[in-house]
Amino acid sequence: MGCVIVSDIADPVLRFAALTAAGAVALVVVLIAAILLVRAARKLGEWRARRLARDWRPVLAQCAVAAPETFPTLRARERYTFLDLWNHHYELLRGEAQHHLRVLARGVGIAPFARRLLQSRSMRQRLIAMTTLGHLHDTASIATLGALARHRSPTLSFAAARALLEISPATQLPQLLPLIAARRDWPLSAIALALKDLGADTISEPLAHAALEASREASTRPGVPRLVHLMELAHGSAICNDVDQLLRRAEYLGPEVIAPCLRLLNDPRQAHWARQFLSHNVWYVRVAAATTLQRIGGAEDCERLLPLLGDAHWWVRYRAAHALARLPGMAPQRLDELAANTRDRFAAQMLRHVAAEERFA
Amino acid sequence: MNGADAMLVVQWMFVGFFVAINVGYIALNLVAAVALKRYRDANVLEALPDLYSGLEPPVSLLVPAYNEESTIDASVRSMLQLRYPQFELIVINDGSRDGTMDTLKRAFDLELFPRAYWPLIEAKPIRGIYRSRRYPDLRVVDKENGGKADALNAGINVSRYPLFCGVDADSILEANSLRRVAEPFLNQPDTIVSGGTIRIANGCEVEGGFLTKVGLPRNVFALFQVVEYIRAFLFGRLGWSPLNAVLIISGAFGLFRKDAVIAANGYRHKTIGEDMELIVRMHRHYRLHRKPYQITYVPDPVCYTEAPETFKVLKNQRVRWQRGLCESLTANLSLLFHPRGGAPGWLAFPFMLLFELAGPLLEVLGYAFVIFAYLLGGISFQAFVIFMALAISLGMLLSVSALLLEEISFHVYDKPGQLALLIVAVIAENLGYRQLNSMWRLWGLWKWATGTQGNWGTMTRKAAWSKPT
Repeated sequence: MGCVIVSDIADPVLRFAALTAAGAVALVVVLIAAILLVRAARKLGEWRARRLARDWRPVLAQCAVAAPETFPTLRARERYTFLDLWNHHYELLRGEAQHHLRVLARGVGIAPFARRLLQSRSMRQRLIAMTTLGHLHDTASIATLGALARHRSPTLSFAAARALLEISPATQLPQLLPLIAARRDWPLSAIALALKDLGADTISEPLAHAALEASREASTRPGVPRLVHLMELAHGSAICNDVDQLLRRAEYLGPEVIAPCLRLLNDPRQAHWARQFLSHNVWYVRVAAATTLQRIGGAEDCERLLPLLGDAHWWVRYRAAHALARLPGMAPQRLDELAANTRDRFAAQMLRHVAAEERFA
Repeated sequence: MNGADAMLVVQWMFVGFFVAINVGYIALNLVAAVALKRYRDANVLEALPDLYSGLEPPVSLLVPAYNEESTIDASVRSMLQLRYPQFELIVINDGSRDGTMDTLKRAFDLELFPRAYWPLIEAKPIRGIYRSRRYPDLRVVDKENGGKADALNAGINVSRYPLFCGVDADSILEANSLRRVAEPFLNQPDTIVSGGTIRIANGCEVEGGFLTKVGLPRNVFALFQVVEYIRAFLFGRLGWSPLNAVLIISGAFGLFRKDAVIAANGYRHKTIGEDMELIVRMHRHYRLHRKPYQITYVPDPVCYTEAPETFKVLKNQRVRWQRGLCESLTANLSLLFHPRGGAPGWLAFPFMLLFELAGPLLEVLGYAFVIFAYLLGGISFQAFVIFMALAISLGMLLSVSALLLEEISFHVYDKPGQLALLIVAVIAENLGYRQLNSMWRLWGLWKWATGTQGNWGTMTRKAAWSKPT
């Protein structure tokens, strides 16, 4: 190694290394400039948003009590920022106040702007537009939103569906329920939120009807569990018969439907379903059956629940013990007695555990 | 091959390694940038008020604690205030030698509870399970010492809910962090793990266990770690997420589907990087059994943690991390280039093996070669400067691009002074700190290769940022 192998820039290794290093340094400088520009642009945007909020917040706050009679002028370049502010207020308020906000929005002419934004290439803008049009109950955009509800992007399609449900729940819900059942990429919790806003009166019958319809065809059956889960938002009395019908088809529908169906039962006259499934071969169905008896079972179910205390699954034992604890006439002391008299170690442990929880509750 | 040829080959290898590792990371950076834009666009409505549907799956928060006497009270109180529809908090006292258990008993009015224990996963014996008379959703498990993995396994056995979230006792969480990391479970039914971004708490203000003001640390080690965490999380993890190939979900805050973890036999005992090892094993399990699954990384900052500020503690941490990485990868070698390995087996695993496991060795050898070659007259001063400039400038490029992603997305550090300091830090950390890190990691690699028992490690917590409730 006594000789100098690489000595000048003409060497290919060195030239490559030098050029790469120079390129990297140049990029570092460009990126730092980009960081500063992004920061400056964001600060400018925030300043504009603050100024807009300062001007409009009194008007928006006034909507909480009354519809505005005069409408301040909304500058064209402020419309998008205004949508954000308006939506935020809309979601914070309820009832008449939301109506007043719609009057304000129509007065300042944001509906046509939001409809134009639906054609934007930016997902962000389209999402804001769909939310606004839904809140505005804008019937003119139903056709466009209907097409968007079938878009392959779950974010876009679900936002469109939610807007449609807001615009015209009675007509749109029956049309959208098959989509809700089929689109596994739409988050169930978000759908539940949208349906909750519509109210149990509006959703109970269409939901139960859709679940029953879907259960009849093999091609649509995979969507039934989603609909049954959503039926938890419905009126118990309104869906009582439909749940009965679904449980009659239990053998076709499988445990994913049986378990949530059992959770929907609230009438002691339907307790026979829970009793029937106490020995189901899928553990979470047994859990659901025991939990249902905890709600609607009678004193006579004690003998049926006792064997479940020896179940291989912890959750079955736990729910069975809880169901026993809640049976008419059962007290924590009685659970302690049962624990003392049982030979099954796991059953005794579980009874003591639940007795302690009951005392604590 | 004569000496000159050999030298040339080594030079090309040095240049090639630095270019390859940085091109690899820049590619990840680009994937992360696209993923981040999509994520931010799709979550534009998240700025609207928080709402819960009632269908959110309940979560068991597992907090392993070993000698956390000074911080456990505040940590538990802050976690009890998390915003989420239904969760239970299980603190696992892993045979602490200090007053952790007494502090818990006193602060939360604990009483023994006859819990029907169901040991689904192997764990050290439990001395007692306690419940709080004041907080119905708080349980404390007192068990024999077995390490963090063992403590988490015991927590899984005691937990009631279908999802569990492993949280370090010193983690400072955002109030809505659970909701953020639970989202993938709602949006994609086959999600088995989800984790969020961890940030550095040093320099921040914390009150009642919650972060009240974001700041930057004055300590230079902690400052450099801020940059490291931005880099590691924003593209080290987000870059792999769209490919479903994230191999690390931080143990400081990760949400898991319990049945999936139980199917994989829980956390592995006697390992240091139990969090990474579990994730790699779950990839292996699901890939090799052809089961559909998603391991998702949520880029939102959800958790802040205290970074070491002294040379010794930081060195120990990095040595431990490197050993954890080595253990995690070598324990799951069958995933590497397995026909069913997919992106984790064919991309992420080899990437980690080459650039993260062997990277420190190659990097330190590269630097050593250049320095010795110059000192011994093998290369000119000009060549020495160029080679060093290459290695350092590519590192700077990566750090600056991470900072750009941060500025575009979450811009947590909002003050102009903070941005200026971060820009200085992304440059300066490449001038010594990063090389020092490589040496520590090389030491970790050596310690792993020579085989030493893993343990909880010692992290001296200052919690200087924390104010009482």
